[in-house]
Amino acid sequence: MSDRLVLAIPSKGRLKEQVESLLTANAMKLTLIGGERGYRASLEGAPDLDVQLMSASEIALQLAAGTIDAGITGLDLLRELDPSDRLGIEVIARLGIGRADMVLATPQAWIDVARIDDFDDVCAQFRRRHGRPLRIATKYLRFAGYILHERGVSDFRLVESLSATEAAPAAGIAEAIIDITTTGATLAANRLKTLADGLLLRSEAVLALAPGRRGLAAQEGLARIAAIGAA
Amino acid sequence: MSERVFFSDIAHALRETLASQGGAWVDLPVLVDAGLLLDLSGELVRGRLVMAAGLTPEQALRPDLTVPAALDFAACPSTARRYLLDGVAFRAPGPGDHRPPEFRQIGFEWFGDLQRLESDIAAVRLTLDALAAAGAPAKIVRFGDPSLYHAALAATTLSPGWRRRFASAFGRPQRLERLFLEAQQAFSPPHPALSAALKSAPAGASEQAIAELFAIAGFDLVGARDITDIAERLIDQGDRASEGPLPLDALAALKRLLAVEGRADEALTALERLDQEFGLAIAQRLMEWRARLAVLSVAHPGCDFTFAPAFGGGFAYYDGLIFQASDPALPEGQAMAAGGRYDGLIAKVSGGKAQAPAIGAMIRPDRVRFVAGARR
Repeated sequence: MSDRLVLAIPSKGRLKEQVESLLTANAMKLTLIGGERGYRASLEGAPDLDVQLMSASEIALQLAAGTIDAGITGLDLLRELDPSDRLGIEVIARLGIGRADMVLATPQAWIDVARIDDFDDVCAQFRRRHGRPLRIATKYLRFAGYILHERGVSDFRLVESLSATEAAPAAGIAEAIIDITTTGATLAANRLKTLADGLLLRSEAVLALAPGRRGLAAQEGLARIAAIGAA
Repeated sequence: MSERVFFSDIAHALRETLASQGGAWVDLPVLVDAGLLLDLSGELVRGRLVMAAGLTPEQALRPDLTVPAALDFAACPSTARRYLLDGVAFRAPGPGDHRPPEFRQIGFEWFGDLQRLESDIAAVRLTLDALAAAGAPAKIVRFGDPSLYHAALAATTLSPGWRRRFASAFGRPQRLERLFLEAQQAFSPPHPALSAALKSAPAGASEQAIAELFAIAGFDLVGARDITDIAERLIDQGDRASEGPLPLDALAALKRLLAVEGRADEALTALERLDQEFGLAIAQRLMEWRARLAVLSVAHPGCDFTFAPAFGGGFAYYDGLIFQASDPALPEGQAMAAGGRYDGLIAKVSGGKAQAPAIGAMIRPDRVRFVAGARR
């Protein structure tokens, strides 16, 4: 094979639109091969890249497996796949789009809880008074378990929530949540608040390399995209 | 050919030795309620569990043989029983970890044996005997004992709230570090006037007042945490602020106790000095440790014994002696055998219906073979 690299970019949703307009704004227009429904594309100014379109979570998986060289995906998805950063997927640029904060949020009514250490006390109290662990709803089962342990919280149960995580406490399936938020408006609408030190991850779209491909960062097409992030 | 170490020979030697102290070989269920496993070991083990798809409630393939044995005993806890165990267990490798998810464990669990000190010694000794019989006598045995910390904590004059906080932080060094810092600082409650008012309110009135407050503020109390929970903590926060200075000496002693680590005899000497200086109420436990080590070092003179009260802090359900037998030939963090005492486990797996002292150990025959092979 030649020196051509495979770069995967998101194939749907808001992140796809944001990535496309960011690239276009930086003179790297994306052209789909095989019409609107194609899943391959070429990128202006990056003749060395074979671009493939796939879902953001698929990109994270394929990066980990090394079946693609590079990908643009959400940092939250990468950390969920590899919470303690063991695989060696290398983030070479933060692209400044798709920004969202992963936060720990509790009901506003918890007026006795301001910080994560309070939350840890509450976990112990809940176990003692209710005889079962406090439940936290999240889409990020792996990262949530890892980061709460890092922050010194123990004795809670994660409950998988596939959609509308912020509604889980009102639905009675959890006491607190860990979710992605951009403005906090959805949290507030659901009578939830974030804790003073409850920011768990600042996520955004990133350009990342598969394990062991660090040397590729200097290649023309990838370097141009990385430069967008640096700008 | 004569240099080869056969797996079947290793397993045979381990089984023969373990059976010498009595007990019956039992087959146990492979599927275990995942919620129970998470309860016992915390959410961090979720990534290590091999979940069985499509079952409700969630089931996992057993990550060890201890929990299935404890469940079996708890179902009929009337008489003391010794279990001999030999079977596969499953742990999902983490990212970048290429170890196979399935491995064999051979071991034993003794439930209901009331002679704690004697059975502690017998259990460790049996494990070390089995390793020696399989051609891989342990070179390094690490001991720990969380009960020293908890006993010392109970002997302090800390308030119940502080004691609870310090107790639950065991095994979590960062949380503990923050607690030690917090303990030295003045505490300002988030709602001082409210805390004070609730403190003097008659029973039931606190909850009523908070409910009214929530109605005014437009707060919905969602989830299962209730107003009594919130009132209790608000009052706690008020108490904490009005508490006199914390016994910083006692806290410093706890910190030093957790930092002790080294050759077993030296570590025990250090702990005895701490006890004399600060009155930690652990003298009896330390004497028992001297007794355990005296017997074990005679039985296995080729072993290096180390001791650290905090060793094994991450293994959630151990509450007394903890030990790990290892060898320099094994990769860091891997042991040939591990075990200990978990007197609270039967109560935990039975929801408090049954109680029994418990001690046991599990041996990894694959690692024993690796060490035996490396020795030849």
